[in-house]
Amino acid sequence: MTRRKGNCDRVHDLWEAQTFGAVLSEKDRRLVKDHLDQCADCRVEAGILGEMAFDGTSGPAPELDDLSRRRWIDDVMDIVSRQDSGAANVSQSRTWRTSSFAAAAAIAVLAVSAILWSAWPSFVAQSNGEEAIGYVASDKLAGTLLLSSGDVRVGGEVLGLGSTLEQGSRISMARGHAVMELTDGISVFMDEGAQVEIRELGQTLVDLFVKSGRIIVQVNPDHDGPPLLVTTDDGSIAVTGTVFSVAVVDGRSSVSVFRGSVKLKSETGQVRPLRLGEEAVLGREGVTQISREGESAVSDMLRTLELLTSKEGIALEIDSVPAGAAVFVDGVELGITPVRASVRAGYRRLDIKKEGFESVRELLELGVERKLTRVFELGELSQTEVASSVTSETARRKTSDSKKISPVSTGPVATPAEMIARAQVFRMERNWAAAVGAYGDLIDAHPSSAQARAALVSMGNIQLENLNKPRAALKVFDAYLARFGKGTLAREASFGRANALRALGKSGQERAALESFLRDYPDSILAQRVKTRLDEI
Amino acid sequence: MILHMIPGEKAGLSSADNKADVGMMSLAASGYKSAQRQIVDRLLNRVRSTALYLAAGHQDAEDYAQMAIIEILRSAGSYRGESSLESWAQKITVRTVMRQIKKRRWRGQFMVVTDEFEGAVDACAETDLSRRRALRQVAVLFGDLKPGVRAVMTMKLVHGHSISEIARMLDTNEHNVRYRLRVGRQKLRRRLKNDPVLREWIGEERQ
Repeated sequence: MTRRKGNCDRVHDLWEAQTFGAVLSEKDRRLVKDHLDQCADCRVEAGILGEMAFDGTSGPAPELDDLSRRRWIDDVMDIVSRQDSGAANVSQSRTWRTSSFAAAAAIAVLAVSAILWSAWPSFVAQSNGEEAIGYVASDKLAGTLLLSSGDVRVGGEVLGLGSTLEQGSRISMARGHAVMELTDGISVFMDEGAQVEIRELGQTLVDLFVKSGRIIVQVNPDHDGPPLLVTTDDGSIAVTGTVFSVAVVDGRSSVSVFRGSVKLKSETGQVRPLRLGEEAVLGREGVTQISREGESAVSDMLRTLELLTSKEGIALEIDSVPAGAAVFVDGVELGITPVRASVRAGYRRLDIKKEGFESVRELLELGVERKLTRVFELGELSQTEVASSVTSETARRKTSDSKKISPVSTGPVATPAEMIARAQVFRMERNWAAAVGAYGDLIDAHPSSAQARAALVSMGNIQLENLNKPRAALKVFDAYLARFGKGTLAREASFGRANALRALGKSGQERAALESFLRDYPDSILAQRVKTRLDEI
Repeated sequence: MILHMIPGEKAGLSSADNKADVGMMSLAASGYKSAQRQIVDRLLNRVRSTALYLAAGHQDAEDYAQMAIIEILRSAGSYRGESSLESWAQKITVRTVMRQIKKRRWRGQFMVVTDEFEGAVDACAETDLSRRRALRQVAVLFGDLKPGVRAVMTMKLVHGHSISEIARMLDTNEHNVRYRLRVGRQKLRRRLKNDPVLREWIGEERQ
């Protein structure tokens, strides 16, 4: 044994010398070979080190299929091109989706708001049509309509997708809702009944006046274009990178902040900050917390904003017979047919739903063509079918030229491998909600497949890590462990389960889960972390 | 069994190759999309692999890889062909990822990168998957090493750079590189001896 240990040391010395550039003699090479024949430990080490050498593949990183690879590269190219146009910063854009955004944004907001603070008088004066003091006339920009569902008009004329919005445009949303991009990085969701006017749209200032109704404004923190000022009759709101809503109802202008912070200025000139999670009425004292309902209502609208883009977006035109069906893309409701939207390229799940009619589901590959038109003819459900809520198996669709196509099945539309590849694409895009939806589709369509088992664990991880839904994640991990307790991913599921319990604050159950993990997987690489956590609680 | 005791890949690019690469990088720096795309495609696997080792298997590695690739494109104009494009990109990758690792404190939940296809591969792909899982396990073992040691280990054991190259890339001296390499290999050796997953994969059950 001692002799073998001695040989191990000698062999390690030789390896090390070789690592540092020495060339082994024939005798030393033979010594190493003979030793490896006898010593299992060194064989493992040599084998592993040999496998680590870069061989042109991604090594330990998950393999990308052709589609995912293409998307990965597209993603990079997109970021680079945005950076080239001075509209994005990668580190900021990556953190946009993380929970740490609020902290980062707060610093940015403080810095920029200091500048805004000093500049306020000049641009507020300008926005109110008063004499501007030291204000430089700006080159004019143009906005774009990204989504139209219902009746959106400018000065009485109905707007279509891609319509240009200019300084002075008065936009009214009589029915449905719309999304417009004022300039790169500033998107505005207009709810039904909203009336706004673009008072200034220049290189130095964007001023949006809200006459009535509710709008949700998203200003990307990467946005380095002109500052945005939202005004109402009661005052104004100075904005940097943030998300907030303004509602002018019954002569009251209320503001709610969902990300970052804003500064409010009342008619009397009083200025005060409004931070994440707060809402206030312009011109009145006091701040309240945004209700849970208010927050969840806006989160749907934010998901809509994230789905839309003006840059290389695919023009999607969806109609139905009869009209008035709800259109969902990746689970996000875009509106009621007819819907026109400029959607980000990629694989998308399209759902059309109308009460009393068959639902339709279709997988779309957006990116092949710049424009995609679909007209769906919805079959009416019989009373029995309505009662049993039968989903669409026989809905029919027509293309834009009204030519009927054979019935489309909305059951399993793809193989498990195709469906999991689709979910991976969503993950690559950081479209977590859509990824969970795609995994759900796979589990529904092919419940007994091996991919469905993996999908369960992936779903749980996303819900826990990215969507902050520990309860849902716990259910999924439990489902996996109940059905495939000894499955290949049982270790990951058990660990995920303990983390979900931790996130839910159930320390007793978390402890039990961690102890169970240690019993089942004492040699796991995660065992040390589990022990550390057990010591903590 | 063929054993590569001292793994490493040789870039082996001639100066003519470097010249061609300088031209391509210059086009990329001027904003030519096809050149940029070609560079990303060429370096993608290398960068993702490096990022995963440096991040010790953490799922944020994919983000780091993306940042590194973007940094490479942004710096394209500074490539002079003094070393191979791969070595030059490697230096940027290591620096970018290390910066991110230092910047971002990982949260309590340590999520290791996983494959979607685990347990669901056809026979043909099974070997690849098994190798990937084993290498990922090694990457996770890297978590016990300090980031600087990880960087040296990755550059030497994965990419086969020489000690002097590594010292240049990391702006340190050769003595420091040798020291980190020695420490890293000793720690890794201890962990490998007691890792049932890797032993099983290599086909050596612990006696």
